[in-house]
Amino acid sequence: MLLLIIGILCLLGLLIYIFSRQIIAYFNRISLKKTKRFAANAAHELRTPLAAIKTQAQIALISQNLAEKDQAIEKLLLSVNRCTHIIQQLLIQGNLSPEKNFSLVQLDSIAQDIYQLLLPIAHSKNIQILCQFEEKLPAIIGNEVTLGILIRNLLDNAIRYSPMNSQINLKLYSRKKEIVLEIIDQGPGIPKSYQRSVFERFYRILGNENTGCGLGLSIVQEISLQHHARIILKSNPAKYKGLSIKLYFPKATHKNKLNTKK
Amino acid sequence: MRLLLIEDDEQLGDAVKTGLRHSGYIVDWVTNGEQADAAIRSNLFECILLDLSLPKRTGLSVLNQMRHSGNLTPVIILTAQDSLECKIKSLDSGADDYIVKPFDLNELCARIRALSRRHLKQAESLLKYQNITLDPKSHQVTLDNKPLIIPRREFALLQKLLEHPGQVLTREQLMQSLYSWEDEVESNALEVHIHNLRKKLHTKNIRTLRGIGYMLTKEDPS
Repeated sequence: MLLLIIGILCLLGLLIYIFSRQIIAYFNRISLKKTKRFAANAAHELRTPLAAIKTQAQIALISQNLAEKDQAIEKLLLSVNRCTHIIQQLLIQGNLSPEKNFSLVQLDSIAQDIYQLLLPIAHSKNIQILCQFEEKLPAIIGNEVTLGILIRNLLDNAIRYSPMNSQINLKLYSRKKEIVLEIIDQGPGIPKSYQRSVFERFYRILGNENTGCGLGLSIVQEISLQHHARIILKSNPAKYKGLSIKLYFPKATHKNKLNTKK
Repeated sequence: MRLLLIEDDEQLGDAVKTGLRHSGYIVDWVTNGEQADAAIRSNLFECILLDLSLPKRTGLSVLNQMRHSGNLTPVIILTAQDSLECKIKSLDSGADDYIVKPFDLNELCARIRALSRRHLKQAESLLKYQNITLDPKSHQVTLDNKPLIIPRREFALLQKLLEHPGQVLTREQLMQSLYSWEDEVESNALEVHIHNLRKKLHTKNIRTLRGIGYMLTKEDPS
């Protein structure tokens, strides 16, 4: 009898061992695929900005005129900054994983930090950022770091696309079951026909001369999905021209609080 | 030589336009498929540089439309896509050459010259006429084997004349090959350039056809 039990346990042990190795191999394949995909994307996205750098450098070399040389070198530096930006965004996107490092977080304090961070940039375009945060805003369940990235991307976009001397509204308020984050700018807005595509990676609407790289909104979308938040875009809202983006985050309830880390 | 650059990326487009202008080309730059179609239809260009990933319409669809309508202008594809299947597809769709970003500006210019020779049915890039030679690569002109300095537009005008000996080139054709849409031109600019060329080359072979244009008389086969 004892022998039988030991035999069965050994067999079980063996099966578990084989099974878990398969699972690990499976996840390794996925992460290898993911890594490959990430690397391929990164390579592809960097080619065009690198081409600009190469051509600008060649122009700088052949220019006899010093003023032309300087101009070419300045443009070169702008392109390098752009490459750096792309790499940073790619790394952020590459690192976004569905693992839940979630806890109770306050959107207003995260927003406040981001606001302070981006204030100098807004200042350089003489843009006013008006923060309207509801007092005693309820908490939500989420990841503080990625929510910071989300808000930073949204506010950064708003600043980029806003004309000089304009105003951006950053609002946080609660509804029955949700907390709403709203950013309104006075920029050109996004026509309805493009509103779905703007979330695609690297999609940028024609004709803008911005130096962003088109990953911002796809990162925003990915982080929203992880937080079970929905995104509503409205262009040319009643009072202000421009774009209004609203994110609806589910409030932290008694049920989901229990599932979080402390 | 007048080129059309179809590239939606602002920084790259600006860099390539500037680089090509430095190399002596007249360049017009458009940033999307619709503008590209209109520009191509104008038939003003001797070579087209086409980026595959354009907003609103793909580069490939612009190329297809162009070839279907019978336009034979040489096309070089500029792209970040380096997959074999993309290369094959583009070449089969009517592209004449394919260059992957980032590329060397000198290589791009060499490929443009290669296509130009093919298009003009020339054996070599160096143009020779009596005691005059013109090298599109080095931008050198020689008269009786001695180097002659001539400014950019006169160089372009001389090149055009040397490429079409015995052919009447209308005033409009010459203007269009010397100036991009961005340039502001004096109304008698062409006459001034012709006058200067005649003087510098000591030649009577640049003939005026009143009311029509100009022609470089064909060389005597002797």
